[in-house]
Parts: sequence; C-alpha cells; structure tokens
Amino acid sequence: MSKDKIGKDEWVASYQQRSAGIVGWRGALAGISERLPTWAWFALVIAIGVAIPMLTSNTYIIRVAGNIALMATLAMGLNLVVGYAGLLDLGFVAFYGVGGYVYAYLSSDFSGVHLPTGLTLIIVIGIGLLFGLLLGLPSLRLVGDYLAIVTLGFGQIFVQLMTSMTRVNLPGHERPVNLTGGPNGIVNLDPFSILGFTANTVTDYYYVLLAVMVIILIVGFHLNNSRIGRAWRSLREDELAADAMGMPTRQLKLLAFALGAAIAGLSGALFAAWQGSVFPGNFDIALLINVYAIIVLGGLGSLPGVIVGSVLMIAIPEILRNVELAGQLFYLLIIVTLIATLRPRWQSVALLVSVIVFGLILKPILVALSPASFAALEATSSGFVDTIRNWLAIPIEAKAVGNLAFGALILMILLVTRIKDMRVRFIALIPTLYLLSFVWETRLSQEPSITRLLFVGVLLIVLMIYRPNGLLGERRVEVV
Amino acid sequence: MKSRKLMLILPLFLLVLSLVIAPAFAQSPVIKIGILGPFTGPAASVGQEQLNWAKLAVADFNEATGWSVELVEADTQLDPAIAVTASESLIADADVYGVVGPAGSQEVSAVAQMFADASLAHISGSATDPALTAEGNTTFFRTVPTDAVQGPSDANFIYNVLGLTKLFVIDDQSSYAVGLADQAEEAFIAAGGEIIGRESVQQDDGDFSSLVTLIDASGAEAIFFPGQIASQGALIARQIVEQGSDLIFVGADGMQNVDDFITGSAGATEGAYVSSFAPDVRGVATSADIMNRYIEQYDDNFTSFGPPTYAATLVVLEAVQRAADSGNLSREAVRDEVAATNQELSVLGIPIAFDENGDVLGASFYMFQVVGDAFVLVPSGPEMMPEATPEATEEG
Amino acid sequence: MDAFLAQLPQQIINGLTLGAVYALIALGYSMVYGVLQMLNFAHGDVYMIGAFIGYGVMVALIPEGAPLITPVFIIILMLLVAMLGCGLLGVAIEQFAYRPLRNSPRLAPLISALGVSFFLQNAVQLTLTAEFRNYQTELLIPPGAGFDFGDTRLPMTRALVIVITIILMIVLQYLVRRTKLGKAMRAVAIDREAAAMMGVDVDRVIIATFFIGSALAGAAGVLTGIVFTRVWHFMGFTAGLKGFTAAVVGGIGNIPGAMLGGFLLGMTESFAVGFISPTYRDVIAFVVLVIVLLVRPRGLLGARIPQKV
Repeated sequence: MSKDKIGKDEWVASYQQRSAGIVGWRGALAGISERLPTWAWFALVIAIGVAIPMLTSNTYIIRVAGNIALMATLAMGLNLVVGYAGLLDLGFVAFYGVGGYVYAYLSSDFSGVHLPTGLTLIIVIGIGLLFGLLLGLPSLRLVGDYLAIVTLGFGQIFVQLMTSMTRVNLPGHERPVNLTGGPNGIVNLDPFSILGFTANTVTDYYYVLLAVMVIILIVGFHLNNSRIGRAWRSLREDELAADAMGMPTRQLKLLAFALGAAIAGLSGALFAAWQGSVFPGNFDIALLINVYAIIVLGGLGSLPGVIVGSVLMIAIPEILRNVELAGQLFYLLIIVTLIATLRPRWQSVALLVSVIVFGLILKPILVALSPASFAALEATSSGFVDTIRNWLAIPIEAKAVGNLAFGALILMILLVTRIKDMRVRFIALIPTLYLLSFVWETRLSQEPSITRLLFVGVLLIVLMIYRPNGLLGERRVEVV
Repeated sequence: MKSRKLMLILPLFLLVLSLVIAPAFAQSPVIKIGILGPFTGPAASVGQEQLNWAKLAVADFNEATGWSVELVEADTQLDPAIAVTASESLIADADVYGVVGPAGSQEVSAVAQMFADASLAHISGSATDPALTAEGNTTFFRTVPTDAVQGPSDANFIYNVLGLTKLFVIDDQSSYAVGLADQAEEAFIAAGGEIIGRESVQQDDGDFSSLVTLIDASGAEAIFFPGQIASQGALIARQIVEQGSDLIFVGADGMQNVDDFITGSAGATEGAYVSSFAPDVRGVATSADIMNRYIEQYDDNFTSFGPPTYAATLVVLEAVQRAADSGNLSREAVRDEVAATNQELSVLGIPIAFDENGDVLGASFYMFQVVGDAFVLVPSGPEMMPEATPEATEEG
Repeated sequence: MDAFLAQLPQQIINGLTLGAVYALIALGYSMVYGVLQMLNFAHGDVYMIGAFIGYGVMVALIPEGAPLITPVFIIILMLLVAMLGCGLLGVAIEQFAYRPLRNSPRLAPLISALGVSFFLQNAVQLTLTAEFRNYQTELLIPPGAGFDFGDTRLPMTRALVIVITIILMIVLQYLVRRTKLGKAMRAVAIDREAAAMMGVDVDRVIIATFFIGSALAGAAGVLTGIVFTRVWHFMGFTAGLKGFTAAVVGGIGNIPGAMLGGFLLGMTESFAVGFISPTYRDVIAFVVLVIVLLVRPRGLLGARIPQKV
C-alpha cells in the first residue's frame, strides 16, 4: 500500500506506523484491512450488497438497504467536493433536486415528454455538470463560510422556486402556467427502464441503486488516486501553496463542483424514478444535514467511510422505529458503555447491583410516603419490560413526573461527567442510571418518534467527540 | 488484553443475536394497525394531535371489544421520501391490517401505489387534494371532504353572504392550503369577484406584518388564508389589528382551533370567519364523552385535524373487526370492509360512508364566526344548507 | 408610486423589528465564530429555549390573567431570566459538545452542533409537546398602545423591541471595546495562540463569549415572543439560518457587521414582501445576499485580512 501514500505528509505516515503497532483485536482488524487488496474490499461490499435480497424477502429491509445505497452514492458526490477538494458546499442537495426534477420533466405526463431512461440519465448528468459549473463560478471568489452561505442560499432558492412556481405568467400563454407542480409535486413518473430491463419492484430498484453505487465507488476510488485527486488534496490542505506550485486551482475547484453535482444529479434522477414522484420537500435542508453527517461520521475524504456513514445514518433511525427493539438496544447500550468505560472491571457489576438495590429500596419508601401517587401497573406484552416497570417506582402521573425526571437526568449526566473523584462518581452514577431507566419507561418508550431523533442527536455528539476524524477518516494535522 | 477484547465483543454478539432471534420468540399473533404522520419536525403539532386521537380511538376500541389491537406509529416528518420508507415498514409487517394516514396530500401521492400493491387500506384524516381520489384507487380513503368541496363553498360564502368582491388569497405552501386556495380563487372569480392578489407564506414564518401592510394598501376587503397552522392565522389577525387595518379575515378548517386561533390572538380574531366540514365537534352531544376523555388524557385543546383521525382510526378498527368476525382476516378483506363502511353517526356528528373513489359521502361545509371565545355557526348561502342543525357551542 | 410611499414607513418599521431579532441572533453566531472559527448551528435552538424560558416566567407571573407585579418588571424579569438561562445553556453546550473538538477538523464541531440542535428540539417536544404557545403580550403592553405618525403606526411592542435591541448592542459594544474581557476576546479572535502566550485565559474567554452570545439569543427569543407572540419547538431552525445569513453578510466574526447584517436582512425581507413579491421573499433576500457577497467577498464590514501562510 506504500504507493498510496503520495500526498500525505510525514506526520501522517508516522501516525500510520504507530497505529500499525496497536495490539489486540483492533490491531488485528487494522492488519487485515491493510493486507486486503482494494479489489477485495470492493468485492466484499458488492457481495454483501447482492446477498441482502437473497437473505430476506422483507421489502422494508430491502428498501432501507436501497436507501443506504442511494445515500452513499449521493454522499460520494459530496465527498468529492468537501472531502477531496475541501469546498464547503451547502447547496449540494439542490443538485440532487435538479436531477430529480429533470427526470420528472423528461418522464411524466406533467410535461408530456417520455424519454428513454438512458437518454434521460445522460441529460441529467449533463445538466448536473452545467449547474455545478454555474454554482462553482462564485466559489472562485469566495472562501470558507462565505462560500457556504452562498451555496446554502442556492439550495434554499431551489426548494423555494420548486414550491412557488405554480402560477408563472409566460409569454404566449393566457393563464399563469404551473411549471413545477408546487407542493404537490410531479407524480406518476415512468419507471426506470434501461436496455430492456424495467425496474418494478423494490428489489429491482435496489439492484439498480447498488450497481450505480458500485460504479461511482470505483470512479471515486480512481479519481482519488489520480493526478486530479492529489491536486484536490493539495488544494484542500493549502490553496496558496497549491497555487504557487502552478496548480490550476480555478479549474480544479470548478471540476470538483461539476463532478459532485453530476453525481448528485444522477442520484436525484434515480431517487425520482424510485419514488415515482418528486416534491420540493424531498430536497430540503433535512437531507443536507443527513448527507453531511454521513460523510463526516464516516470520515471526510474516505470512500469506505461514506458507506459506513450511510449505514449508520440510515439504518439506526430505522432500527429505532421499532419500540421493543429500541428498548432492548437502550439497556444493552447502557451496559456496554459501563463495561467499556469503568475501570476496574468489577465496578460495572457492582454498579448494576447497586442500582438494582437502590431501586428496590427506593420504591417501598416512595410508596409508603405517598401511597395515593402509585397504582398497580398494567401488564405489557413483554415480560422484560414488566419486570423493569415493576422495579421502578412509576407513579400514576407518569407523564408529568417523567418530564421532570428528563430534565433532572440531563443535569445529572452533565454533573457526572464533571466529577473527577472516582468514588463520588460511582455513587452519583447510581441515581443517574436509575433516572435513565425511569425516563425511558415513563417517557422515551412512549414517544418512539421523538426518541428516535433524540438518539440521533446524542449519537452525532458522542461519535464526533470520540472520533473527531470520523470512523474511517485519516487523522490529519490541521495546519495552523 | 484478551479479556478486554472479549468483554467488548460479547455484548455486540449478544446484540446481533437478539436482533436475529427476537422475531422467532414473537408472541402470539397480534393485530396491529399503523399510523403515518409528521410526529416530529416542523409539522409535529398536527402529527402529534393526530397520533393522540388515534391512540384514544384504539384504546376505546380495545376497551369496548376486549381486543388488544396495537397501534404502530411511523413518523414521516412530512417528507414524502421518509413517508415511503415508513410506509414500507408498515407494509412489511404482516400483522398490520390497516393504516391511518398519511397526513399530507403529497405524502399520500408518494405512497398510494405501494399501498395499492399491498392491498392495504389507508385512511387519511387530513389529506384533501382532490386528485388523490380521482383515478381508480382502491386502497385510499379519507374521512375529510376534498378541497374541491371546501374551496368553492368558502368563496361563495365570501361573495354571496358577506357581499365582498375584493379578496386577497394567501396560502402557506402546504399542499392542503395551495389546493384550497386554488379552488377558492377559481370559484370566487366565477362568482364575479375580483382576486386582488395571491401570495404564499411559509409554515415556519413568524412574522406577517409586511404582508399585512401590503394587503392593507392593495385595496382588498378581505384576506382568505386557508392555512394549516391556526396560530399563523391568529398572528395575521393580530397584525391586522396592530396596524389599524379593517381587513376581514376568513380561514378554512385549519383555523378551527380554540386555543391557537381565538385565545392565542387576544381578541384580534373576534368576528373572523372559519369554515369547517362538520358541525363543530365540540357541540355534538353524542361525542361529548370522547371529547372529555381526550381533554382529560391528552390535551385540553384540539383542532379540526384531530377528530377526523379518530374517525379514520375507528373505520379501520371496525373494518378489521368485521373482517375477523367473518372468519377471513386479511388485508384484502379489511380493505373491502373499509370500502363498505357505513357508520350512522361518527365522532364528527355526521355519518361516514365512502363513494367508489374513497371519498367521504355527503360532505357539506359550515361557516363559523368567532364570537367571544367560541366558534358560532353562521347561517349561510343556499349551497351550504346544513342537513342537521348543529347547535352552536360555548367552549372555554 | 403612491402605494409605495403609503407603505414605505410601515415597511421600515416592520423591517426594523424583524432586523432587530435577526441581529441579536447573528451576534451570537458572529462572536462564537470570531473566537473559535466554528459555526454554532445549535444557536437557533438556544434562541428557541430562550423564548420558552421567557414564556415560563410570564406564565408564572401572570397566573390567572392578572399580572402579579408591574408589567414592566415582568418584561425585565423575562429578559433577564432567559438571558441567564440561555447563557448557562450556551456554556454547557460549549463544555460538552465543542470543547473536546477544539482542535479537530472544522466539520467535526459542525456535526456535533447539529446533534445538539436535534437534541434540544426534540427534548423540548418531548417535555413541552409540539404545540404553539402564545405570549400574552396584551397583558403586559396594552394592545392599542403605540405612536402614530400620520397613517403610520409604531406599536409599543415594536418600539420596545427596537429600543431593547439597541440598548443590548450598546452594552455589548462597551463590553467588547472598553473592558478587559472585551480586549481579551478581541485578542483571542485575532490569534488564539498568541493571546494565550500573552497570558490571556483562552478557556475563560471562550466561556464568556458563549455566555454572552447565547444570552443575546435568549433575549432575541423573548423579544420574538413579545412582538410576534408565537413560540414553538421548531422556531429556532429558520431563525438560526437567518441569523447565520445575517452574520455572514455583515462579515462573520465582526460584531458591528452582525448588527448591520441583521438589520439589512430584516429590511430586505420586509421590502421584498411589500414591494416585490411575498411569495419570492426568500429568493429575493438570497439574491441580494449573493450580490453583496460578490461585491464584498468578506461581507459588508469584514476585514480584508491578508491570508496567513
């Protein structure tokens, strides 16, 4: 792998040597990943991807997998712009939207045009390139956050125009013309159909998305290792130096924008075909946040990172849709975190036992103090949940008390992380864990939709703190 | 080091194991119904209310029948793409026999085909785009009449009953408001009125003062704002008063919300008009019990987006019950039973039955005026003759 | 032209009010950016929390529709408690979500900030539901109160918002220009390491910056409640974006720039609605913004610092 090291500085190389010295399972894993040739990684990803629909007939799982492939493709486009070339482009999702709407215009009754999908895709990529160049032009003048805000504005304008342009006065028309379908979008799009293959089912689309993802992955890999890729990296690290070395920085930036936009356009078109419709709401800031989270969590500039990031950001919220599963995960996560962070090891066991005892003592006291506040609980479908609910002192006014407990819990967690003294922290952890369980049973498990997003928020914070460079990102020294 | 490795891998292994094995230990077959709606995000106030009403309906049904139907919530965040995935999660769950929602028309048009392919009935309590039931759909139903009914009645009311000829129309860029505004605009012009202007605001806007200034200067006599969010309407009314303007405010059923529209406007909405397709639910004597339980268990305020969802949930539940009683509990059977729904008196105070396209039959609209702290029924034009005389209500 | 002139004074008042709120939010963005070079995307949600704290104080002091103490004191208390609460919240966010990431790649704190934003929004929805709350401004300031200039009306609420904003800005300017803390803040903004070497306690300065910036957001939240009355869990999202935009237009990191940017954005939006097209308000506002940035790539008041190599 030494030939791939071009463009990385000495510090990085020495870091990698040190990391090769990591022992234990992580070292072993790192060793395996170092030794596996790149094509084997590609083969592995493809094999897993192809196997999913064969292992399950559950259309939901296949659809989620399709979403992962689609988001990974989109994120790879963004990775080109942000990860490789270092341009903070907050209007990226608009290109995805342009792709979606162009596909919609070229394959629906809305415009009366029905082009073959292959031709449509070529046009979509062309228009994507063009829009990328157009938006890239201001980037030549603006740096950093000024670029961010202009591109953000572009993204906003796109959504706004798609929503608003339902009554436009065009020359030659007597009445205002509906150009975009407004909030009701463009529906009943033609299915994806290429070379005699027409995608009808979820599985069909999944394979199409997977194939496109693999193609873009390969393109991205070769780009990264090409002259252009190295030039982008030098641009990202130090634009002035790159300029001084005679790199065509203007062209490089424009190229990054255009290629990223083309990939986004392509994914947008696939998305439109899959959903069978496009709406302005498909392309708003929520999606932008998601794509950014994917590339940063995975590791900026890392191709496998994009896939890992997509799996995390798409699969975790879906897993959390299932209340029971979310509950099991919640308790498992607490235990794993305790085991992983408390030293010496017996402390975690002692802590769990203490918490259980704490609950067993607390409940009779509270019930004795105020018998009217407590009543027998209704049994749920799960014995595990019932056990925990009976262990906790859940009052009749569970909702109100749970809300207060939620506030108290946040304060407790903030406090516990500040306590340095091991013994004090151990003692403080007991009521904190009790509260955690209490809040889960009284509030969080009752509001799965809200809890999902709370979890995603916590996940983003925690992951960033523990892996600031993303899960698979290269550790780089920031040049100050 | 070996043990440390083990300690980390073991929980992960258990996790994977539990994910794989959990379905195998699934309890005895349960009957579930799903609900799709924006439970988080900018439209959460609508979604959460619908969720609460659906929860109440399921609880009522379970208590009445002794069944234990489960309600599965699937959050769409009002994004059609998320709605698609959320719908798939319900479709893939074989225990789900019927679905309430989705809430927004754009979501319905994104997912309708999936439900049709799965023969799974879904009933929305708030999607009003006429196009949704236009083309031979078999699985989509709704307990609310379409914009094509409400828009023209509002326009006719403004022109014929209020006698106003110059109208300014605003929508909030939701598919609900845009459809309604379009329909009303067309009918108002057809009746002979003049549309002074038509503009859009956004659902997360928190200030309309500039818009009010513009409308006040435009010569319009009234604002028609068929928005989804009642507190936005209240704010427009407040700013009309603040600027000393005498514009008349007319809203649609999204405004029928005592807390947000009347109390929240501090008197600014006094005299404003609001349309609603059912007699004010608060005045339906047979529904008083349900209302009280909702107020007791969830919230002392509710809007016109809630009770139709209760009705939709009950339609699904009763269809499931009828299908099960006939010994053939399947999605197809439930769908057919939903189509055959014939409730003599729903929570809305009107009967519920569907036409061949899934639209609720016999829908008619009523106009209400804000008087004091209540919506009071206004006698209106011939197109809007109420079939039964609902009593105006005093609601605090 | 008549219609234009008839509307103009009123639209200026509308724009100033809106601009005041944007400016207060933009200040927090800009100050944090000045010392840390990071975009604090949770800032809009701090503003939302501020609006809710103000609401809580108001409900506590007006239990049965009758104020317990003089309305002026209620307004002052609402502002103070919200500013204090938001200031502390800002410091806590900095401690837990940003401090560990201080020397990380630029995008790491951005994502962590988004995490904080998700968390705050949904925590509020969980505990306080997604319903809209209404400030009972009419009990604090009589609805009819205001100043009339011919056909134009300056309602008391709006006058109050503009005046409070200006007072806060003057205090802030004094703080930054005349006090030792302000000097330290400016030093850290120019060069953190050099400032540390000169004996400035960088951590303390950063904490103070977060406290002040978040307190201003809290004030903005309360003022929003007073003048626009609606408060809800998602209000910080759009407001945060607008504040960010205003900060960048003014020249991010520059305090007078943030004020100017806020008022400019408010005016632009108000004029776009009044004189061009309400529907395309945001489009027009962004086009203006892009033009400003193309003419002055570092914002209106952004300094042209030569790039360090």
